[in-house]
Parts: sequence; structure tokens; C-alpha cells
Amino acid sequence: MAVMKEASPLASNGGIPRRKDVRMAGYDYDLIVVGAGPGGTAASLAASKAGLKVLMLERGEYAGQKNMSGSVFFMPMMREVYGEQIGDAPWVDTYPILEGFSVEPIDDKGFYLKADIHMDNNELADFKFIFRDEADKWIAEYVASQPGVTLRCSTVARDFVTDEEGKICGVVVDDGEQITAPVVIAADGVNSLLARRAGLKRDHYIGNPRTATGPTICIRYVYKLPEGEGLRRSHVMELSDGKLHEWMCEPAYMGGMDNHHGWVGHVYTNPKHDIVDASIYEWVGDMVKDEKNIHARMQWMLSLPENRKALEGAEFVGFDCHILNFCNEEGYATKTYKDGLMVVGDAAMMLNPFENFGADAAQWAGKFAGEVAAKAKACGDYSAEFLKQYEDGWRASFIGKNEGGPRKIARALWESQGLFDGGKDVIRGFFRGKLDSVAYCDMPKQPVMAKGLLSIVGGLAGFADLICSPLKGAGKIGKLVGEGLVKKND
Amino acid sequence: MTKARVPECFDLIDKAVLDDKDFYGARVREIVGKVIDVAPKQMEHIKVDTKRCNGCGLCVKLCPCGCYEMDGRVAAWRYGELCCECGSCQYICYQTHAIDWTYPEGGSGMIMHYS
Repeated sequence: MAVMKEASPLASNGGIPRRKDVRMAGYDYDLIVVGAGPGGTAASLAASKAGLKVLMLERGEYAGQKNMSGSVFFMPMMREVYGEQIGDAPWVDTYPILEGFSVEPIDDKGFYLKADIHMDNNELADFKFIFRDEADKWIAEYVASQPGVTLRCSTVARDFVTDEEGKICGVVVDDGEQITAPVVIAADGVNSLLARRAGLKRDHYIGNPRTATGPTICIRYVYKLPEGEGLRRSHVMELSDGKLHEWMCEPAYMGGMDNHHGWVGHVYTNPKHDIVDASIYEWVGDMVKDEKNIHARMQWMLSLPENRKALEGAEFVGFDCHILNFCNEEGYATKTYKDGLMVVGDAAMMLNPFENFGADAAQWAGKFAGEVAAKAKACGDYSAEFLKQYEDGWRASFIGKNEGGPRKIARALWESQGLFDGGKDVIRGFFRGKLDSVAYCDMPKQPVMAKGLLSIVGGLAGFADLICSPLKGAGKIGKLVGEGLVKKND
Repeated sequence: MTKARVPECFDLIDKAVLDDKDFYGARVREIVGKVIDVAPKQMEHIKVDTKRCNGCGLCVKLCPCGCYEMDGRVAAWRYGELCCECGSCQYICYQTHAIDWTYPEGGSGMIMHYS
């Protein structure tokens, strides 16, 4: 069988006995979804709507406890996937609109980027900030309250249960317990144990920033400012109705492609919570080449005068670290299905290489995978041939289309060998890429440019977005470029 | 969880420069250890295959939590209580494939705080 040929990782299962009588004994569930993040909850909800009995597994004590990144959700996608009830989730705030920016080079190592941002409920940028440990928990509990859905936390799925033909028919969890279902959806994140076990994920590809592929490490320091200091240290912003904004992110520093190496950092001040958030992203390949720990970069960034000013008297309260996987040399995971398995979201490397954003892709793919699982049940066919429609579907959606344009932008960025060597080429590359990138999302009312705002929070390619995002019409391009980076570089 | 005042962190900043190749291991643990929140784990979920390890020390130098230390000729995952399960080390060791990586048992390990 085709599956057996490529299923070598399944052969060595650490001595766990296979359950071979699964068809005789019947399945425990119609569908097992591994992971209760954006992809997993979307899949479970879609399957529940179709009447399936679903088990959703989560490795944290609650969904969101292990979440490592992504504090912005795109609302039109959220409403499409979870329904209007999602409005009751614990949202922190709406997304800021970028009005303009200025760039100040810092010797030859990077640049300050000062942005004028204001808050508004504008459909052009219908995003919401959340704390993932609150919002993911709320969403998972909401989905678990739907008919047929069981949420089981504190459970890691480590391997598959396979039938006598070697087809996947369940998962083996922490204590060796076997749970069976005719189809499994692996939405277990960037370090997906199941995609690796199924032979659909390569562990040892470090990629290349010049081709916008491979994993990137991000670390973040969080500082708490004395009460009220956050507002004092930010620009005071007013909403259109005259109220002060409640959440504003102001990059104090952004950039840093020194010596053609792929790393970027930013420092934000958040007045509502009196928090300063400093992040560094670096390509693993460059880190290995340089043999420099990412904390050394962070320390350098924090020692810049502007950042020291922002951090004076602050308390160091948090650190986190995560991987963003910018796909392999062929783009997203080459194959995302097998007999009885579909892989969703970060586990399938569905990360837009330009925006560093994967939540909307995971939600769309999760919902679609849940629907395909329901169809599979109706047809009684869980074969790879049947589940291939999942892969065909997401490749035809905005997720698949986004592999092209954004990657061109990212490549243009790196091919130009750093902003200070080739600023004009970079900008030309951005716009060329933007024009090619017609499909940021299929959702209604979402202009291409608005989506780019995400990267202000996202990081690596954020600078490109900052240039592009204020543009509401092509006529403004020349003007803004003239006032912005090109002028500084000339 | 003990929290550090910023002046201590500034002390570290003063010493650090962008090109500091010695900023790893204990110096990283000093920063991360002040704030990271990890529920006790039973499992040694990351292992170095001592037969495969070629002693290049990249995991020691690059781990963002400073979990690794050289043990003679080979690397050892010695400070697992600081591990934030990011998965960086399995990519860093892309040439020798000496790191056997998995998650700790469910409900244990790193806890992310946002609010």
C-alpha cells in the first residue's frame, strides 16, 4: 500500500501495542482533534455542527496555557468560523490604525521606527487583541459546550493507533492509553509531534532567510512600568470620538538586518497595562552561522538610549520564546493528509511568510478539515484518496494563494542584502510583491493593505507592512515613499 | 516566582554588546530564571544522544533558556526546569540530529502568562 511505504515513522512505536481489533470493537469517537488552539477549535466546532462525536485534546491544563505567540485575531474570520457568539470572548482591544511613520537610522545596525497609530473601529482593520491564555480558554470551553464535543486537557498525543493495515485510527496519549477514531486532525502546533510521527514534517530543515524559508526563533521580555507611566511614555492618542485610546503599541525600535543577517527586533509600550514588550526574531540558520545567542541581540537592543528611557524603573516580569516556521523549500507542508489523518495550521507550516500570521489560516483550514471529516463519515471513506480534498481545498483558498506573493516580498527583502544597502530595491520589491499578492484572504470586506497591519505586531517583515499599510490608494505610494524611507536613505 | 527590578537587568545590558559571543548559558539562565514559570515535570522530555553528539556546543551557545551545558565531550540537557518547550534546539542541531525532542507530560512544564 502507498501509505505503508511512506509510513516508516509509524513502524517504531516505542513498544506500544497496536490495537488491531478497532473495527470489531467500534471507535471511541468519530473524530479526534489534537490541539485546542485556533485550528483545533475550528475543526471541532465544524465537526460538531455536522453531528460528529468529537474528542479535542489539549496538552496544557487549559487551552492557551501553552500558547507561545499570536495576540491578534482577525475578526471577520473569527465570526465566520465560530459564529457571532465570538463577540462575547474576552477581547482586550481593537487594533490600531497606522497613520504615518518616520525612520531614524542607528549607526549601521538598524533604525528607530516611530509610528503614529490611533485606535478606531475601522472595517479596514477589523482585528482584536487578546491575551491568548484567556481567549483560547474561552473559545475552547465554548466549543466544548457544543453538542458532541469533549475537551480533555493535560493530555499529550504522542503517537497514532494504527489498524492491521497500518492506517491511522486513533492516538496514543501520555500514559499509553489508546483512544480510537476513524480520523484524526493534528492541530498540535509548530512542533507537531504527530505530523513528525506520520512522516509529514521534516525536523532538520533550517532554511534560509534569503529564500524566506525555515524556522525563526522569537524571544520576548515583558516589563511592567510604574502605574500611569505607560501613558506618559507613549504619544497621547485620541480616538475619533475624543476618548483616549485604551491600547496602543508604539514601536520604539524596529529593524536590524546587520551584515545581511536575518534578525529584527521591536519594543512596544502599552499604556493600558503599563507594559513594555521587547521582542527579537532571528533566523535559526543565521544564529547557527553566527554562534551568537539571541539574548545578546536583545541586550543590545535594550541598551539603545530610546529603549533605556522607555524602561527606566520598570520591573522585568516575563519572558517567553517560540518558533515561527516559515515553511520548507517548497512552501507549506508538501502533504497534509494520509489515511485517517489531516494536518492543520502551524503543524502544516501554514504561516504567511510575509505577515508572520497563521491564526486565520489555521482557523480556515481547521473548519474545512472538520467539514471534510464529516463528509468522510457520511461516505464511510477515510482513505487518503478521500481526504485529499482537504489539501486541494486549502491550496485553492487564500492559504494556498498566499504562498506566492508574500514569499516574493520576503525574498525581495533579503535579496536586497539589507535595507541600508538597497532600500530602493527593497521598496520596489515590496510593491511588486504586493501587486502579485492578490489573495491575502478571501473574506469579504478585507482590503489587501489592511491585513498587512498585522506585522506591526508580527515582527520580521513588519517594516514592509509599515510602509505599505497606510496606503489606501495607489496614488499615495509615491508620496509616502518620498517622505519615508527613500528620503532617509538618500 | 521572584521578579527582578530593572536596574539589575541594566547591569547586564551595560556588559552586553551585540557581538558578545559569550552571552549564553549561565548569563541566559540568570535572566530567564527570574521570570519563567514552569510546573514540575516528571519526564526528561529532551535527551541528547551521546553517540550522535559531535560536541559542537551550538545547543549550549544558542538555547534561548540556557538549558544545555557541556558534559565532557558531549552536550547535556541539564537545566530542564528552565525549558520553555520552544523547540529551537532540534533545529539548531540540524546537522547531527542528536537531540531527541518531545513535550513533557500533559499539564506540566512551561506556563505562559499574558495578562
